[in-house]
Amino acid sequence: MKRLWILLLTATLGVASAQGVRSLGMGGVTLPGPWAAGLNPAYAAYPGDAYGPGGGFDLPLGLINLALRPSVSPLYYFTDFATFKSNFDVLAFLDQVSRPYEFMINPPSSPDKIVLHVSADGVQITDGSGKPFQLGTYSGGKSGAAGLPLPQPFLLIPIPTGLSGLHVSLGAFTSAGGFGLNPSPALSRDLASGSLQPNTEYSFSLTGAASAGVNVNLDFATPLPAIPGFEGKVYLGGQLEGFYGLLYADAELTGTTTTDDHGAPGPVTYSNRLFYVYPGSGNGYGGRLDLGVALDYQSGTYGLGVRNLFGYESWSGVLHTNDGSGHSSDNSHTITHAAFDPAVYANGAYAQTLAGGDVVLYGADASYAAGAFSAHAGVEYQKSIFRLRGGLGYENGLKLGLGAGVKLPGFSFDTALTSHQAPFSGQMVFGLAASLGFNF
Amino acid sequence: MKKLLLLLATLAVLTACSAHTLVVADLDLLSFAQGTEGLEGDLTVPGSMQVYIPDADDNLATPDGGELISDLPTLDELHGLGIDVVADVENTGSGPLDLQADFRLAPASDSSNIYDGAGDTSLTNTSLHLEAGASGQVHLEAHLQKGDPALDLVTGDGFRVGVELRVNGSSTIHYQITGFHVVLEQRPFDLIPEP
Repeated sequence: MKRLWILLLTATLGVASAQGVRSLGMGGVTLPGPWAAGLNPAYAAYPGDAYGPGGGFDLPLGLINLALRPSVSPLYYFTDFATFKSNFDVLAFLDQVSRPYEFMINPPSSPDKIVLHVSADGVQITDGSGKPFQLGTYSGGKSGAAGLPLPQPFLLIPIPTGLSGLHVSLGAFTSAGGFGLNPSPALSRDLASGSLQPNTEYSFSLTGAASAGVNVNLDFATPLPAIPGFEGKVYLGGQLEGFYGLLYADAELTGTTTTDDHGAPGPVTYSNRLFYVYPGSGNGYGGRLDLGVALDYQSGTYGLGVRNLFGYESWSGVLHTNDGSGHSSDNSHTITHAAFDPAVYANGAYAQTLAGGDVVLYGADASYAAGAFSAHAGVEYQKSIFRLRGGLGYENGLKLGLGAGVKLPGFSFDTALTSHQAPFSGQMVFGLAASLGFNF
Repeated sequence: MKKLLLLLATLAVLTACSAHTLVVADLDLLSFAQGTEGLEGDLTVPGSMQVYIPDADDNLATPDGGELISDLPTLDELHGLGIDVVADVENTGSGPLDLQADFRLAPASDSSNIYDGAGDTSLTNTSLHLEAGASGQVHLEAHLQKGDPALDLVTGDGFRVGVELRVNGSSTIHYQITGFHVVLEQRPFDLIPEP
């Protein structure tokens, strides 16, 4: 049972690092400012009020669906089995749990039919309307948290150093990712072609990983002296981040089946693998180096950050395995990762003041890490205390953001209408997000 | 812990599934037949006769165990069962003919005779009158839902199906079976164990 709590605790902590509602309303754009120092260390020296407050406390509206909506909530399995059995949708659950700060208005729906056409020519699998199954879109990407750039720490506490530009801070980090169903290459290939092959072994894995710990950041960021003949202002920053890991869980559940002479799948056997760390069973440690530069020029700001220029991490814990035939084992295990594994992030913003004092703020960013590319572009219209926002983004599919907010002295409230494409079905899913900000 | 792991394991299989998702196995039994033997032919009807399709004992005129369907992952907790058999027939003789077709369902253990009513049952039947020189189509179609007693004949060991064709009259007939589909429906959520 302890293993399960480790997995759930680390996964729950991992969702605490969601992006702000203001950003969601602008299609996912992260504007220049100190809040982006984790992506570009140069922003640690950047004024925090240049583009407005970074946002407030994001309300975890997705928990409403996860607790109450029968099609999304697995809790009904324990409280009302009949409701669970007649309403629950695994696709809707997976999509909502990956976006806990968004209340999904129309959770995605699994297909009504999965059809296996069995004939002497083999087995074809379609979605009921004749289209081949595309399991590959469920892939959670790289399994495990190790090797990925550490997420931005939360609860970051600055420690005065007395030295200009040098910042030391203590914080805590959480990470969750790699969730998804990963079919074996043979299964992906043959499902896409629409026909399972005879006497072939197929497998699929459900994966997920999460980690949590404390970290120490040592960063130096400073604006450069004015350059003669150049009206802009340049900021440089570097950051060394060390961490001590407290919790780690990397789970993989694999189902395997072998087809017969006609390509019909046989019984499915399950094996599982769980590497876990908790205080008393092991720990983790490591560090990484990040560098960044930002430029203020006229009414615009442009930044480029490279995280994880060099990173090292090591986790020692327990590896639990079960081979599917009833044999299980628990052994001490250590994983290490040391590599030049850069994550590049670029962003920019431009503020245009209109006649009458209204402001239009344009923002865009792009990032590349571990083979994944994402980009966002958005706009915010500021009129008196009111804010209107909109934007488009690309993160494994197109997403739309629309938002509105109110900014009063010391208080702000923001909402966003978001959208994204659901995995597997490609359905456009709309969500609501909200945050409260206090800026005294 | 064990229950939760079982639930997680089941959900892993059910990814992309929901309470309303049906997994359907559409079996094209015709494609497994060797050549056209038994599927197409000419019969001389001396007054009355019966034939049994598919022919499991190399004698069309004797009842047998029909077609055994087994080793399919969808057989446990079946939610529905459909059958669709189509045969083209032509009266090539000089007298009128009356045809009656009966689709039979039997448990896997009923290997000797699925047409005698002992453990087996009739799912659907139809009849057709053919004048000399006329042609027509015999179409047998049925769909069973969960709760129908006939579905109890389908177990994890499999089940048997077959068609009995009764012909009355004095003539000759040409027949060709053009479709023989059995559709098994399973609701994966029926497999989820209660907490």
